[in-house]
Amino acid sequence: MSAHSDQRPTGIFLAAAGLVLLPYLGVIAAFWFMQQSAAPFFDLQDNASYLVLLALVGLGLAGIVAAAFMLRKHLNREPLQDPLAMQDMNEQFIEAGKMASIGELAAGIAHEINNPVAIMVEEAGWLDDLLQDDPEMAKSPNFEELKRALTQIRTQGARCKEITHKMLSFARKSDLRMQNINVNTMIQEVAALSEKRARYANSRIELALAQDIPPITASASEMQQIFLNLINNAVDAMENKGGEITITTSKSKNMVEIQIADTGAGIPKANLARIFDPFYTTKPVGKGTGLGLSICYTIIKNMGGEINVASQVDVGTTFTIRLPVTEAKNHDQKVAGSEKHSQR
Amino acid sequence: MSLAKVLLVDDEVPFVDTMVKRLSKRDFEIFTAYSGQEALDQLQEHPSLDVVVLDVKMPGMDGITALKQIKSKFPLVEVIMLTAHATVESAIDGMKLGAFDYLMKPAEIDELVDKVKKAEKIKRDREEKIREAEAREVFLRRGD
Ligand SMILES: Nc1ncnc2c1ncn2[C@@H]1O[C@H](COP(=O)(O)OP(=O)(O)OP(=O)(O)O)[C@@H](O)[C@H]1O
Ligand SMILES: [Mg+2]
Ligand SMILES: [Mg+2]
Repeated sequence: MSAHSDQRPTGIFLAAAGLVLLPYLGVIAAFWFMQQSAAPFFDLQDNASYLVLLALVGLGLAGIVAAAFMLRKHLNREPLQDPLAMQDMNEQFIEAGKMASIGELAAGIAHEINNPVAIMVEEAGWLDDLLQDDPEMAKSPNFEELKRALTQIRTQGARCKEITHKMLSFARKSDLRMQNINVNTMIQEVAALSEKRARYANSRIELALAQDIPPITASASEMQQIFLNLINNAVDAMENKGGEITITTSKSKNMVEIQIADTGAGIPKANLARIFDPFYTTKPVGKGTGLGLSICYTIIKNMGGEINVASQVDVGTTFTIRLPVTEAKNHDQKVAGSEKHSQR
Repeated sequence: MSLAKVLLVDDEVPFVDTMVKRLSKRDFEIFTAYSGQEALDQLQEHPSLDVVVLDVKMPGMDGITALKQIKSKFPLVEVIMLTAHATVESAIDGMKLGAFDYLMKPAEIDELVDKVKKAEKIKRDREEKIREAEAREVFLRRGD
């Protein structure tokens, strides 16, 4: 790989130089030809000059095509020889872009939304002040309605503030301390937290945790956030008819695998590609922000893990997470929460 | 008696305009600035200002920089940070630099009024102590 990296710049340079120079060479050659030719240049009756001109133009074109081809080949050299490596690079590139955008987006949107909302809320407040002040107004039959409407504007403004808070609680860097985490214990805790909500929605949470799960290195609050988001989504998906959430853990090679499966509504194929996008939601206004999965995705990718989804409409959805196991030398560090029962 | 003299600093012009009306109605004497630099100029021009309500994110000199300069040039003036930035961090940074308190936009006017009054009281108390200390010094010097 390093061998062609060394050759690449020279190759690209030559190809680019050729591409730039060839048309000039063609023009110079044409001028030279004009000078040499006794006949007027555009006298195309003269078959000989016509043919020579045509040949020169043809040669020039061929040169350009050849140079373009060389340039392309040089630029694509590595993918041609190692398509997988290129794919990885592309993916990383896209991910890096996505991650930067969620954090920045959150801060940017908070600012951009809260400022105009603050203005609206203050204007409503000012109307309220005026209403309060004017004894004539108090006699108006619409007085109560006006007051109610103004209060509503204030309430909705507060709601905007809350949404931006939610976004930023993720973007905040404060409690991102990495520690060794026992995934099973954490799942038990989060499942206990969610049980009540699940029961309201007529669904049950089943745990199938493997015995020999090694610890992973992660931020405890981020891990909780991932499981909560996924369980909440599952509960939402089963809201109508109830059902079952099954959380499974297992170990595969040097990864811990966690599956969260529900028997809910499922996700239509057309939506699958979008569910990890920030702000993508199919839930009614006020219910979902569409940030849950994009947050999960970002956290997991940052940890060097992966998250996949498999779903069938009216059958259910399974999210599969794979997270890298803590490297052996860190094993004897304190494992968060493992003093209690680590398996059920 | 009119309540505190308050300087409102924010680059969002309509926000400032409406807040001026609302706070004036609540008996504060309001001055305005639309940037950090303007805020410093206003403080220079009106030494009797008590409280500054300062936006964090502004083009040019931002709120945190303005806060540092205010605290070094006009140490008695109390500053309340008002931020649209939902992150508490910048506001907490501000408090470490000597701001009295912070509020998130959109804020409840009653809350803001309450904080302004508290800030003003702290400033008055401190001024009172300074006056006492000065009086004592004069007294001691006479006693020599
Ligand atoms: N288990 C699931 N079953 C069916 N659909 C799902 C499931 N999980 C996610 N989805 C779909 O993906 C969308 C995006 O999910 P995501 O968690 O990102 O946002 P949300 O749940 O809508 O909002 P929030 O997480 O802020 O409450 C959901 O609106 C839903 O359509
Ligand atoms: Mg969700
Ligand atoms: Mg601003």
